[in-house]
Amino acid sequence: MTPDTRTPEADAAELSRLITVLTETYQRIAELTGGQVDAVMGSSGVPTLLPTAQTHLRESEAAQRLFAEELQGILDAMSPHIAVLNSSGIIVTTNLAWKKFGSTNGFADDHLGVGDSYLRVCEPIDGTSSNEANQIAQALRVILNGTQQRFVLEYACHAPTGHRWFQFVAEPIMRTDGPGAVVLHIDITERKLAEEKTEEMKNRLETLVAAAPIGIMIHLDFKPVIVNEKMVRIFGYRSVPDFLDMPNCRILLDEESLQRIDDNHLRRLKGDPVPESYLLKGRRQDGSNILLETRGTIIRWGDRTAVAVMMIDVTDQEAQREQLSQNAALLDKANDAITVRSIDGIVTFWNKAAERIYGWTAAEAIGRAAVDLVQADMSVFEPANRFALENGHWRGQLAQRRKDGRAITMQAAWSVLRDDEGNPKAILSINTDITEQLMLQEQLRQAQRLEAIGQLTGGMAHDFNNLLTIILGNAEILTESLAGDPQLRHLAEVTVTAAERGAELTNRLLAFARRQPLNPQPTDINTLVASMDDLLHRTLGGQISVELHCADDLWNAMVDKPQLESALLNLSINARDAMPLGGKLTFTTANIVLDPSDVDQGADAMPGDYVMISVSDTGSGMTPEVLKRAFDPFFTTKDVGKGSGLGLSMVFGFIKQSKGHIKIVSKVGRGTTVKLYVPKSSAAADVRGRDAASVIHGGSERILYVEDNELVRDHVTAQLITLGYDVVVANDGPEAISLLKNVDGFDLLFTDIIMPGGLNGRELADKAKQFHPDLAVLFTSGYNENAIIMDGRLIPGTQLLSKPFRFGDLAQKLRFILDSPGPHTH
Amino acid sequence: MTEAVEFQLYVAGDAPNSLHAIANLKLFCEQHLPGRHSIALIDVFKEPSAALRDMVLLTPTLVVLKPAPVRRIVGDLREPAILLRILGLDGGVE
Repeated sequence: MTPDTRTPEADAAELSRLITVLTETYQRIAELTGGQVDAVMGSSGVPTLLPTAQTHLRESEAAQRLFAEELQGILDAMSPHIAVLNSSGIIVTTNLAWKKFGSTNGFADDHLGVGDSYLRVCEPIDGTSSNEANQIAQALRVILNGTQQRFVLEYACHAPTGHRWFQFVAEPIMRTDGPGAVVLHIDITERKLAEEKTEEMKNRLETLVAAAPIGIMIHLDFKPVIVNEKMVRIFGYRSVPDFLDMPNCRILLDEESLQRIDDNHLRRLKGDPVPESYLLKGRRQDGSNILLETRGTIIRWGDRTAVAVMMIDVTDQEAQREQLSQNAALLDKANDAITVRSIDGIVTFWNKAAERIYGWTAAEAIGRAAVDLVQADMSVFEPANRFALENGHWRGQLAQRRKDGRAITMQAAWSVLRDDEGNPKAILSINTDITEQLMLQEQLRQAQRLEAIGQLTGGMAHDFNNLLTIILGNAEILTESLAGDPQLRHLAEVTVTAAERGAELTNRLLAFARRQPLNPQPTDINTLVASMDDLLHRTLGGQISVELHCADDLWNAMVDKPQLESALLNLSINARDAMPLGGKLTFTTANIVLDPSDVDQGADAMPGDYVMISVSDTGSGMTPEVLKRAFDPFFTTKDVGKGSGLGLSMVFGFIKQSKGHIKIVSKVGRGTTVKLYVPKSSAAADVRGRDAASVIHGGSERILYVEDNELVRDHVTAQLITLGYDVVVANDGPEAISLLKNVDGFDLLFTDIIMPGGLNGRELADKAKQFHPDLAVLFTSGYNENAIIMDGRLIPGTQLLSKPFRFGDLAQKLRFILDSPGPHTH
Repeated sequence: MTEAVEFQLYVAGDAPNSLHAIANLKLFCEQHLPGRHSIALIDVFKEPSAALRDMVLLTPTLVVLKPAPVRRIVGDLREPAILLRILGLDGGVE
């Protein structure tokens, strides 16, 4: 192709091609150098600047694209459904939420998108649009006409997935093509539901407050703003408005209560603890006083604080409570156990006395079954309970137990408590503890019984002894007279033995009856017990070991020595019989001081200083039943013929007569301990040995013998004559007196104590001494009474010969008196 | 390497990339070659022949004269790593 042939068209085409190549070349260079070069050098070395406009354009385009993307991102990130409308109401942009609206709410996916007319949706041709849609369309038209006015509307949407609430917002914007609008649909369902709930709660609360059975009031600085019916009634106002008219509700309370609520208010403001509820004294409109259980709390009241007050009228309750607590105090003062148990036997009330008597505290007892607590004997309790429920009451004795297991006896009086309809609802039980009373009664009965037996025994023994004296005396005379006839003599000897045996029994009975003559002397008990050692070993046999535990510095006791020996021997024999297979017998002595507090109430032990001698065995022991009757005369657990049943009763009588005490502790299988307490003596012990038996000596002194019983008188007179004495006999006291007045030379008065004729032996002796101050006196009696035995003991210096007596005893006693230096000799 | 480094930077007046290249080179030298470098700035509009002589076709072009061999780097020198590698300052064995 030559230049000649060039046409303008061809040039234009080539130019166009070159420009394209140039442009592409620039672009390529820029691409290869990353846009980092400014100029290129031509082959001539002339640099040519590369065009930069293209780069700028590209950058600007990128920036625009980025801005659009960012905008879309922001839109998409927003939760409201957003669309941008142009001036014709056509949607030009939507956000993600808008696009998802369909699927989120169950509509078709192609609900409404870019290019659709928003107005068309709001204003369908068929005119079915709702009121809200019409309002929206109208507002949008205004905005799209260029009025810069925001439009907001809340509306409900009945979407297939449920009832939802939206807020519609149309915001005017200025677009290049004229006024547009941003349309937002904000889902406010949550907020709406919360609002609905709040409203509902508020309504409910108002209903509750109005209907509440307690008085409720809210006041601002004591000006009531809200009050319910109940509160109005409590204070006796006519109506709610009437109450709210009150300018200051402080007039409802008395001064003291106002002080209290002001204190509480201050404490609340400071954050200090305030009692949850408190009692206030109120005044009703009619002026009457009421008691109010009150609770108060500070609440927000708009931008102020108000006080909400709740009140319950407890005027009646308070009065009842006071009455109840007074009653309870009275019940607690009672000595009887007062308890209430429900029909099914559960304890509901337990007074102080019940706590003391049963050992269970009210806290422990209440709520538990009564029968378990007192370990009631169900065979008594159940019929009693049935009787009470049928008849409304029951009375009787109950054997129960304390918490510690001790048995107690109750005199019970039960009453059934009924409810308003008359049905039994509980049983009130008033129980008197009669354990001690029963025990005392039993002790008294025992003592009275022993006393009665003693009197009976004593009276009988007197007559019996007289008979025995005659039998014994005559039998002795017979024995001597029948020396030549061994057969008959033997019979007489058997009679003597039998009479002696009878006398012995009578003596034991007298001992039990505390009417035997005693001669108490200061006695060293340790020595006495030790001296019995030999005798004990012989009596008890080899199977039983004897131990002595003698206290040092033991006091002397004031006691009749032979009788004490006899008593200890008696106890030892009992112990032996309780230990047929052998065992141990322990004697223990000790000084004991009995305080008044040590002495059991009702027992006849006296406080004081005593010497205690205890005899313990390791034998079979006694049951409580046996123990109860241990002192009874003729009561014995031994086989017939083995025991008289008089042993322990004799010891009992002796110790009692000695002004001492006796105590038995025994358990079956654990042995028995008998403790004898004999009074302390301050005098030194008499260490003289007993009189040695001596040969019978008679005499020639003149004796006045006084005896009312003819048989005895003749018998004894014969004995006295046998002994060689000069005997003058009198039948009774008066006769003796006249003899004493008329006859001289009497050396000794030998008289019975109990005699008819108005003068007993003692009185006779006293009178005789008036005429013959030096006259010696010997009493004799089968039944020693107070005339000679003061307090159960012989008057010192008095001589007594107990009936029945042996011939030898009589002889010895007479010589002993007549030979003693004394006032009767001169 | 103790030898001084000799640069020739070809620029096109105050065109933006050229100004960037000058600033970047100066910053590089202050950081990595303090006291042992020389920079000769050559404006191709003022000295067109120099570019032709040194066979520089584009600006900005940096010619590393010393140490040998002569090397050329086209661009605004925004990445110092290229220079460090060429100068053997990157810890490599070149």
